[in-house]
Amino acid sequence: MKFAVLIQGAPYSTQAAYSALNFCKAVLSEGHEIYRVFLYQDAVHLSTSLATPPQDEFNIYAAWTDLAREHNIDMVTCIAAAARRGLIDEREAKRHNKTHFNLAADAELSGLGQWIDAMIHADRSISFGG
Amino acid sequence: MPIVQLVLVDDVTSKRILICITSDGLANSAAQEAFDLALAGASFEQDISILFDGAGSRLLLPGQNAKFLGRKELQKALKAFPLYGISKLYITQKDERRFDLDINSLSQECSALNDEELSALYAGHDIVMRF
Repeated sequence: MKFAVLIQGAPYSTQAAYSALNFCKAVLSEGHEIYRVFLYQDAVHLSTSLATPPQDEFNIYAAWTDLAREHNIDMVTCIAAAARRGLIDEREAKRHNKTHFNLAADAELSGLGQWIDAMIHADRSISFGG
Repeated sequence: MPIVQLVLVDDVTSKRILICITSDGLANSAAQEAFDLALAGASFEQDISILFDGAGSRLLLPGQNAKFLGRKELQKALKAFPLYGISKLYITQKDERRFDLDINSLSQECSALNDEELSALYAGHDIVMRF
């Protein structure tokens, strides 16, 4: 079964990213497929390359990066929600004449159409943090 | 607390999507981003319905000036809904009483649902998203 996962809440400020992480692990361990994880609203902060949580705290950024790499999960960050919150990649930085960019290397910016596509093609859609 | 929603979807080309907006559009950007999603969904020919729930029902009050609070004016987006084929807008009768709303003077035509109709609304959609 294919799952589409929408995360809406910010990391640490809400449980959304952590709950979604555990949900995806459970889905994958049962042999199902994650069609796409879409980061929207404050969840786009999960895509920053600059977060450095204290070493004695759970690193939600590293946990998501590891899971996505291990299972080749298609993770998409909403470009409009991210730009609004100051999260941009190198290309967007050039486009907007910014001197820096801060999107994590593995993160991919794209539009809401990616979430619509995920809802259409997945067997189940689930949201965290709305 | 995160709200987790798990729904069954059957149709692979067009889904019945219910977007529940619980924010009034002034306190945060949730309503604006819900509107963005609604318009994107309609652009991809999805069947979009919107429930203005709780404080979200106040989005339909005419004569607002969101710019005064540094927020994007959402009334224009509301008026664009019919152009995108979004015509199924709802509030609840509870909110109608709670906020003393006059269904005939809201900025967009919508239906006020009782509890039974609200349950049917949720049941009648493949996907529910809350903002």
